[in-house]
Amino acid sequence: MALLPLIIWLIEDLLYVIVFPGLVVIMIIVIFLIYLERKIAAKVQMRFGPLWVSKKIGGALQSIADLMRFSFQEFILPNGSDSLAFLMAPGLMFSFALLPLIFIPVGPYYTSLFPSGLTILFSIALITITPIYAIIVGWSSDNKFSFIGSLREAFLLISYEIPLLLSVVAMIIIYKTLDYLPAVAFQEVHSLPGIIINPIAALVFIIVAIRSTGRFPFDITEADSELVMGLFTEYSALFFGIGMATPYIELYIMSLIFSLLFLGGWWPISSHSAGLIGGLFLPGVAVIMKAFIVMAILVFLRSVYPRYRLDQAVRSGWDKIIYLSIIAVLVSIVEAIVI
Amino acid sequence: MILKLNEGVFNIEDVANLELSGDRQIELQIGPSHPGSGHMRIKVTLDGDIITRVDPDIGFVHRTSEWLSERREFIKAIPIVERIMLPDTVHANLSYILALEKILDIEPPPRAQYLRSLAAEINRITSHLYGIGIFGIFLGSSTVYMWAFGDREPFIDLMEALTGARITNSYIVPGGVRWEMPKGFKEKAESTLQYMEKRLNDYNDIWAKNPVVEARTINVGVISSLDAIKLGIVGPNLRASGVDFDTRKDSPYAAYSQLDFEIPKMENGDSYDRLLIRIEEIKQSMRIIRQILKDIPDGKIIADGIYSQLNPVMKKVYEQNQRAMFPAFFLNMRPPSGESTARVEAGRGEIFFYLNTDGNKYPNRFRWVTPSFRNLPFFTKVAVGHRLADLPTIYGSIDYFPPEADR
Amino acid sequence: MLINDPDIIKESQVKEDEKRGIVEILVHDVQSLKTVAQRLNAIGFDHCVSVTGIDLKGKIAVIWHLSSYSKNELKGKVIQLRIDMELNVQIDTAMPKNFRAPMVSVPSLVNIWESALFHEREAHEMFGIDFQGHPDLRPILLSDDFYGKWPMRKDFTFDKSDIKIE
Repeated sequence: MALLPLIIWLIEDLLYVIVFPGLVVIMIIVIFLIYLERKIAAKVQMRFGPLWVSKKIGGALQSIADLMRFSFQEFILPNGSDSLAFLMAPGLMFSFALLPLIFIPVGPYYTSLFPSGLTILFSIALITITPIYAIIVGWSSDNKFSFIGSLREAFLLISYEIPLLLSVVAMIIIYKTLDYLPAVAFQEVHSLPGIIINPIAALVFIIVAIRSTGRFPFDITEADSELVMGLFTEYSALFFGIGMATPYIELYIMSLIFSLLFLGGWWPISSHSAGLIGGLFLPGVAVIMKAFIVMAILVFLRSVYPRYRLDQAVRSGWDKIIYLSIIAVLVSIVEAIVI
Repeated sequence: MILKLNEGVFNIEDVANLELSGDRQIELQIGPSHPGSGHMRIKVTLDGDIITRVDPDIGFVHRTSEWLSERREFIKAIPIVERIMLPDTVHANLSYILALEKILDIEPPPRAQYLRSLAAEINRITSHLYGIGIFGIFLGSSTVYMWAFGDREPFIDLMEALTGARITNSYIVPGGVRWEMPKGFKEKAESTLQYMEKRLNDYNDIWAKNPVVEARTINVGVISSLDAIKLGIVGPNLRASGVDFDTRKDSPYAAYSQLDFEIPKMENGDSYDRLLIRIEEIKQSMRIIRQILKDIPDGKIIADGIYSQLNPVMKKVYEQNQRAMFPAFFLNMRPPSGESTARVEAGRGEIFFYLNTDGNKYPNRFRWVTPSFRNLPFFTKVAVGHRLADLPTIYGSIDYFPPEADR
Repeated sequence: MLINDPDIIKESQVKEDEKRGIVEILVHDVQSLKTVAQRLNAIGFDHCVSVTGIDLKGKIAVIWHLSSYSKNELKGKVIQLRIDMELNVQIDTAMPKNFRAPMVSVPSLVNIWESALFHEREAHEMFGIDFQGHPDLRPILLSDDFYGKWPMRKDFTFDKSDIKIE
């Protein structure tokens, strides 16, 4: 009998990971986001964008049509590639990009599968694992262009990890906790979102989010005019679809973290709500809407900026962004002492 | 652990030995089916990220225009020459006809000269917009690419109103031009020019003053003025390095000796200057078009020597529709034997024509050099020592067009 | 007269036709070609516009077109430096045996005008002119199965049965 709450708890967590805000919601959001990116870029560039697939609703089903096309394509395995790594790396990249979701609560009702007071730490640590699989993807294709793409990814990932950790450390100093729920409660108690408490840390986090998900101007690993398709040159069919969708999933995760740490989380809805609807669904909708607005802004940058060169991006990661993140930490220390 | 590379199967100890033996260069073929190469293959040898050697392998779209023109009548060379230089058709047409008129000893009337300059300047604007668009997509900015190609459309509509065809007009014939300026053309041209001036402000904001563009193009691909003279560079690339040379001023043709315009010139010779100079040249071209529309003299559009060869039906068509049809003289033309040269400043640089005739129906030697062929030393000499990501920057900034280089 | 330098006039034959834009310097042998070229470079003709050949029956004329960017009085002018070489002399150069002989051999002027680099490659593959001293004489526009056939000569024919699809 003592097992029953445990079983219910397990089932609830599984539904959390699979349905809301897990795989199903991610699929819907990513599909809509890809379509939205193309429409926004088209509006700026004086053209229509995707229009013909479902003309009455303005072409909104274009991404689903693309997904169906990827499912029916022929898969080609290059002769000289390392077949085990070639086949497994995209799938591993996709799964590891989704893993931080276990530790991110979108409502005060949710306590994670591994209850601990360290959810921020775990989720940030899991974010930094994904680029390793990107390097394996580039290496295992038998292609010089993919190889150069994977080297570029390696350089970029090393140069931007420290600013990411320092900006999160800046917020941890203020919130005095390593857990998401007390962090959001802190913002609610003081009625100040984290972006006003420490705007420099927010800026650094946004820049790292743009870098690590490959949005313009840091589109360097998929540079279209130098490397044919970057890392995923040799892939076809559904593997290519996974490779193109993974950056959007990473973007979603980082936007969720951004809205929890910096935008007040589920702010209009109190942290003391309870029950499945009030404690999970409504706050979840609030957090996901805020994350969606952040994603839409980052995706809009495609129509404004070209891409940087590799050594410029790496140099700024070691040079200016580290200074900014150190200033953010100092600002946090000052505020923590004063307040 | 076996690492499989392109050249065979290596052990991991072999990879370490490769490094020590100094053989750490990788050869990349940015080949014909690559988004950043155009219709050519660029063989690049890289040491890490630094380029050590570039070998452009051109000739993929060689269409033997010289061989064909030496076996066809003189007037049939016009479409051949036009379709080689596709964004810049009026200039190719004009250069050939200038060389032919020098041998035939025909002088077109003043109104025809002004109309030739008008068509040439509209074409220069579309050619520069094409170059700006290609440069944008090589750097990754699809916005500039879509805007530039969309903004070509009003000017191509102007050419269609003037000549009847959008791009391959075949407008200029020996003795003058083929079509008169239609009614309402001046108002249409003025509204197009006003639209373009507003758009140039947008280009300034998103292209010329963009911090990413400035970071990628300033001090990249620098060529000094002495090197530019020594390597024989042409066009706006030459003027961006500080050399003061433009064929419209130094050996004038058509109506340019009576028009008042400036030649923009920059000093640094890097890719950013090559980017800015094309926007400045668009502004100067708009100024020339306004002058032409104001000052154009009246008169015939075809020389008296040709007009007297038209039969009565053609003369009636000329009176009513203001259109000069081809007399039979054009097809059976046997120019006197001799040779001539002509030079014209196209959008990308200088076209050079050398024509040698010996009294037959076909030319004896038909030689032309296009500006992109003369800009090739940029790849072999200037790109060395830069990083791999600078190769599209240099390629886009010199406005290299492979079909025109291969002829 | 555009060319009035006594060294050049001594070694060659100058013909000017202002209306048609032709200023021709006709050189008679290879030695005076080099001296005239160096003299022209010293006067101010600093780049080469085009290098080509003309197939006169039994002879091939090699023509360099030159112009100037730096001297104001020479800027608008294009001059041509021409030498006529006989075709019935067998040249022993290091070319493969299946090349259509005979070829014509002139010294390369790349040391004087570096802008002639790519033009001389094109003239070589089209006419069969061997430029001695050129650092990199490979075909540039033609593919490998046309190299050696010198297509721009007047007696070039190609085997149509290769191309026709039955």
